[in-house]
Amino acid sequence: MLKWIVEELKLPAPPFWLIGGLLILMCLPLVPLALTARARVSSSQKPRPHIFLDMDKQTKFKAQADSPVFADGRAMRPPVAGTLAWGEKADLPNPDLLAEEDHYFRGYRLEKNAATGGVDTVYYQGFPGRVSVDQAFLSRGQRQFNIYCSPCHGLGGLGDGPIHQRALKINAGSTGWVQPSDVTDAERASRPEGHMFNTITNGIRNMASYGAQISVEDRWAIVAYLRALQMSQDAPASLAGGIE
Amino acid sequence: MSNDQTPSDKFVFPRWANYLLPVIVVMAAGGGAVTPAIVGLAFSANTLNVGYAPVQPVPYSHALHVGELGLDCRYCHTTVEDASFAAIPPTQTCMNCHSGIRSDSSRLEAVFKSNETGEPVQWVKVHDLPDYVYFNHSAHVNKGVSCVSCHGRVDKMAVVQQVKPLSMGWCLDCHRAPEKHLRPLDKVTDLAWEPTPEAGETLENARLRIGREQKKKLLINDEAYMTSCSTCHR
Ligand code: HEC
Ligand code: HEC
Ligand code: HEC
Ligand code: HEC
Ligand code: HEC
Ligand code: HEC
Repeated sequence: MLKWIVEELKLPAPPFWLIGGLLILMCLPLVPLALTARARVSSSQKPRPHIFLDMDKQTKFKAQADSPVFADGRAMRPPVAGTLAWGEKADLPNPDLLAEEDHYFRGYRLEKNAATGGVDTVYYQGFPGRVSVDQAFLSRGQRQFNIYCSPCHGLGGLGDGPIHQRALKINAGSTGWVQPSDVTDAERASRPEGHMFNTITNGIRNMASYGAQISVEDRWAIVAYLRALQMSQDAPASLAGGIE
Repeated sequence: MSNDQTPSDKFVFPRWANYLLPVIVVMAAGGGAVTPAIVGLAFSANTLNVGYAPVQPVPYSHALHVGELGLDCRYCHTTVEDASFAAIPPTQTCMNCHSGIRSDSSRLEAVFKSNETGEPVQWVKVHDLPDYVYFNHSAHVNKGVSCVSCHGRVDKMAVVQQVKPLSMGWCLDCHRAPEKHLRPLDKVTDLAWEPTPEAGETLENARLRIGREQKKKLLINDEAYMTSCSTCHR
């Protein structure tokens, strides 16, 4: 073909550099293609480039962003100790407002002890008036227990969860690990509901507090589920309220 | 300049220059077709956005904590069901376990330091939408959209990596046909979940069947609402 063109048109053979240059030009598009292919299959430690900034980064603070205004660098402020968030249940059917509040939010009340002159912590028995313990409430408790408590206490609450298994395997006892309690044993079963609630809110001995992770209502739901677990240990299944 | 050159010689192109015309035509036509394709490929969100995996201040591994130890996403990302954002766990959450487990490990140094000083650990944000987009986790998680649809198999990642483009086209693909992605609500954080096909049904069809059931049950909005600009740009 080329030979034919050259002979017909009486053109000289194309110079060597022209052919070379053409070949290189034809290969050039492969470079961005190769770079693209590499970018698609590999990961990068650099954030995406913003070619047109548009309004991608605005001078506002979004949740969990950092801010130079506060000393600890958080734009999102932690709640002030002792305050309630908007939307926390505040309708109080109970005229005995403060006692009901203590029961619901703390699980205990402080009482002056005339004999010693000190202050006693008295845990409430039973559930506060604003929660109704029914099937839906128990199921909610089961769900939240499985998320937050079962890693350590196990699905059955016996203190044999996967984290404890791993801790045994890596001999974490030497670095301060303590076996989680069997929450169904007789001593745990004898605790008042308020005590169990406070255990979740503030932790106990070697167990950390879960008040920051779990809402007040869900903590009561977990307490209800703990009761169901305890009953299922030595009681007929019917007593456990049909929880599997 | 030598004098024996005639003026006509001076301005005559060498004969091989005749090759240039077809070359230029072919190049222009080819380049016109190829260049936009290359630019489109190179600058698509699939190329630019996917694969971002920054180095974090602590070598925290989801593959270990979720994949091996079986922690639920909500143990740490507590707000996903209730808020627009997914909370990155505070240091205290790590200390629930690490006050006793690997409490002598140098890899956890930044966590222990943060625990002492109260300064947060400076985690690097991986998934980052432009600030003019409104996104809401609770709207998705409570309607049966699993984390895996948008974040991939986090439970297999030693380092979190962005695997979806998070572009507008990608959001809309799902908003036009969410039934391909919907699953029972109690399986949202179970990233490995697959539907169990009924007799004679393919996996794809089982997924669609369950998705359609969920779509009806959870009263998912219609396509017009889901693709209206003000749903995401508000
Ligand atoms: C990180 C592991 C861990 C997690 C998660 C955990 N616990 Fe514990 N828990 C422990 C340990 C350890 C103890 C025993 C503390 C001790 O004896 O020093 C304990 C003890 C208890 C006790 C017994 C307290 C008593 O009255 O003696 C109860 C009840 C309890 N936990 C409930 C819960 C509930 C409810 C949750 C979920 C919200 C939970 N725990 C989550 C580790 C854990
Ligand atoms: C033990 C706590 C813990 C658990 C459980 C956990 N995560 Fe995380 N997750 C973190 C921490 C800490 C980070 C920030 C560091 C990082 O990006 O690796 C993070 C980051 C992420 C990110 C990236 C966030 C960003 O910056 O864009 C995603 C996505 C994510 N997690 C999804 C999940 C999913 C899905 C699950 C459940 C399968 C899960 N996580 C379970 C602690 C946890
Ligand atoms: C529910 C318990 C639990 C929580 C909460 C937890 N971890 Fe862990 N983590 C473990 C266990 C158990 C191991 C040890 C596994 C092993 O080495 O076999 C571990 C190991 C690690 C290691 C590797 C340590 C080493 O020396 O190899 C790092 C890093 C780590 N975790 C970071 C974190 C961070 C950061 C957080 C908080 C976002 C966190 N973990 C929360 C249980 C937990
Ligand atoms: C419909 C898609 C989608 C689903 C489903 C989803 N995410 Fe996200 N996630 C995103 C997007 C988009 C961002 C980036 C948000 C931003 O930059 O404002 C994000 C950000 C995050 C972050 C970083 C913190 C933040 O809020 O910016 C974490 C952690 C996270 N997701 C965890 C999860 C977990 C855990 C689940 C499942 C329970 C989940 N996500 C489900 C799309 C999704
Ligand atoms: C895998 C599927 C999927 C993806 C991907 C997805 N969404 Fe959605 N989105 C849904 C579903 C399902 C709903 C629930 C609609 C309802 O409640 O009717 C929803 C709801 C929303 C809502 C709330 C609408 C409302 O007013 O109730 C917003 C906002 C939203 N999505 C934004 C986004 C953005 C932004 C992206 C991309 C970053 C995205 N979504 C990606 C499935 C998806
Ligand atoms: C499902 C959510 C969703 C809907 C609905 C939606 N957008 Fe977007 N839009 C996004 C996201 C996410 C981005 C950011 C993409 C990126 O990262 O560049 C975006 C980006 C944009 C941009 C900026 C593009 C750029 O690259 O600068 C424009 C303009 C825009 N959208 C217009 C619209 C209009 C007009 C509509 C209605 C027809 C609409 N959007 C509907 C999610 C949505």
